[in-house]
Amino acid sequence: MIQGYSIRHRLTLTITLSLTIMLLLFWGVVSRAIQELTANYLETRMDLEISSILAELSLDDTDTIGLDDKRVDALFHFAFSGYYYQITLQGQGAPQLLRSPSLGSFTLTLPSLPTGNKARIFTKGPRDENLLTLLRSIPLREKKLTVAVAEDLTPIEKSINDFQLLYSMISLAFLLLLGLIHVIAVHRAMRPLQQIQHDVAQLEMGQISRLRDDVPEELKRVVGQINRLLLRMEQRLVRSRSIITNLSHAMKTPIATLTQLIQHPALDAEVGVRADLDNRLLLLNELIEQQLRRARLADQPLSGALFCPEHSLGALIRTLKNINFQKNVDVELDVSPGLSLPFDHEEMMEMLGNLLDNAFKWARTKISVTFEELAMHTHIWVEDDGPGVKPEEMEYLTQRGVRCDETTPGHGLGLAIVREIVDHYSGSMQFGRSSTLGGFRVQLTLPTPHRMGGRDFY
Amino acid sequence: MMTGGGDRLFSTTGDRMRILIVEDDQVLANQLKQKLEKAHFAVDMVHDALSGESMGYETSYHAVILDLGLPGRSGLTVLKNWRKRRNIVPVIILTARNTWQERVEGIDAGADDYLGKPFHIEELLARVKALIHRFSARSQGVLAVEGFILDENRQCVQKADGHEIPLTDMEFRMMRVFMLSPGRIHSKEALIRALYDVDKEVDPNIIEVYVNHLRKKLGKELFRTLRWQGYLFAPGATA
Repeated sequence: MIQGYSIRHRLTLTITLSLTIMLLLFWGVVSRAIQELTANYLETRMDLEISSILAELSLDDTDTIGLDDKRVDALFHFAFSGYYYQITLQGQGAPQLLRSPSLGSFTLTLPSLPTGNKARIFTKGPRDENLLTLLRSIPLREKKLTVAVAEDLTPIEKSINDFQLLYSMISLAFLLLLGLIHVIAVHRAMRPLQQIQHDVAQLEMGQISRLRDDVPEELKRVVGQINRLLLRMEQRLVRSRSIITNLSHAMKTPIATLTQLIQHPALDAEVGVRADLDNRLLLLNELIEQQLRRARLADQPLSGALFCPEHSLGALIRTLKNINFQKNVDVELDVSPGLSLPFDHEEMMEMLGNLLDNAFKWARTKISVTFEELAMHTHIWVEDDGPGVKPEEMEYLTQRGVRCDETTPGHGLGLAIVREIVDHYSGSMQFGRSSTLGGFRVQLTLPTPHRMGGRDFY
Repeated sequence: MMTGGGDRLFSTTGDRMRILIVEDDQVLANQLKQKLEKAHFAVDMVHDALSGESMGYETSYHAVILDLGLPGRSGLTVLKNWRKRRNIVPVIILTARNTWQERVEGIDAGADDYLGKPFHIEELLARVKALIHRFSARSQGVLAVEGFILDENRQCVQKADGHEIPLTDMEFRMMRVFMLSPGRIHSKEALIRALYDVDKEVDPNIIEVYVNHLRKKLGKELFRTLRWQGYLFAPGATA
């Protein structure tokens, strides 16, 4: 958890949190506003009721208050209708109390209100219901007249609750919907990163040489920088390779010339000198070849061409057959169609070229090449129907310059080169007798580099 | 085999076999010239690509020894230009560039053999002789391989039993390519290059169609399809 964090998780968390807070705030404000509006509306209405009650109130000479029941709203008549009034007249002497018929024998508990004031309070009704009560007290003949109108809040509270529930549900639905939209948006925004990751994996495998730059503005610079870096690396590599290659090739022609020159008649008398020179020239050539190969193996370009056995081997076999046209050899190629392996094309050509060259030298009529790609390894068999090699000779096969038959031309380096390349890929090479063709058999086992991401090649 | 042994040094017209050496190292070229002349070849040599290329057009050589690392232009380009203009002189590449990838490129560009530097002069001599022997049919005036005779004037093939089979334009041109390099495997791309004008877009499958025409006319077993490699005209295999 500590190592790095996910941009996606961060974004999702921030967005979800801010959405939740916003919707909760809305919910609170709206709920409060609804309650306030309802209360205000009720208060206005109840104030009108008080006014109409006051208008119908009569006071006789004995300071006794009376109210014409018929002139007030019918709702005040039904028992426990939820609409109540209660009028008190306080002064010297016993206070007078006038209640709406709907109250029955219940008396509302009301606070004492200073004259000339108005108040809104909550009280309990005859059936323990919540009542919103509006009180107004006015002076009347040196007495205080208090008129209270109360209304049962239960139905209104119920509809407010219903509204709040509905509102909560809608809010929650919105939260989920917006959350989903954001998750999708974040996912889509992340897609270019996935593309780049995919590209880098392909780059690693050598399937592409550049990252695609059809990415959003923000990533374009990064991709551009990576591509420039790749280009610089490749240029440097190509330059250092071509320096070595050019030097090697430039040196080989003079060596070839010297090799011819030491056959000059002037040296006929100095057979020992000629042999020594010949040896040194051979050694020199071998050293150049070796360093050339090392340079090639040491720094493989990031975007090395993939090895596609059927195509490359087809070309290789065609070449070998065209060179060895006088030999009528059939090469059987057992490769699953479309197979491509994450090995450098040129190295594989070099390896298989040497193995097949050997096979062409020794085979009578048949050679077979078999590729088998397993999860962790790739096996390659090259077999022929030639005389094969005696078991006691096998251990000497990959030593430089060892040739089992001096009559066939060659420098005896072929298998040593193959060994070098196999070692470079941390593979193994085994010799034996072909069970199907009866001749020499080479088995190569090369560990397959991981196909996608995850592995640090460099 | 129609012609004589591999050591034959004179063409049917009685001239000495002519060889062109295109090699920029003058000492090496001189050495080669001496050795080849000792073996009774007539040798011309040039040290740069441009004169090498034009020499290749002017005189008809029995073989060319071609270096790849030439001043001016690559030997591979010289070879490709020759082949593009239907110059079919047998070519052996003699080069320091001897990785297998480079060999494949050289042979696919139209070379007939490939020898890496440094080399043994005996091996080069043996290969030059083998090359001339292999393509001796070319210098006969009449193109004849294993009993098949290609009649250029009447655009037909004469079989060993004297039977004449007329060919269409394309079939004739393809047959000519096959008979000029007996034993050579031709990739589809190489056949397209040999049959069509430069840079023409051609569906490679058309080659299969023409090969099938030839199979129908001359015998199914004469033309072998080698998977992933190309086509081989193999009249010897039927005997």
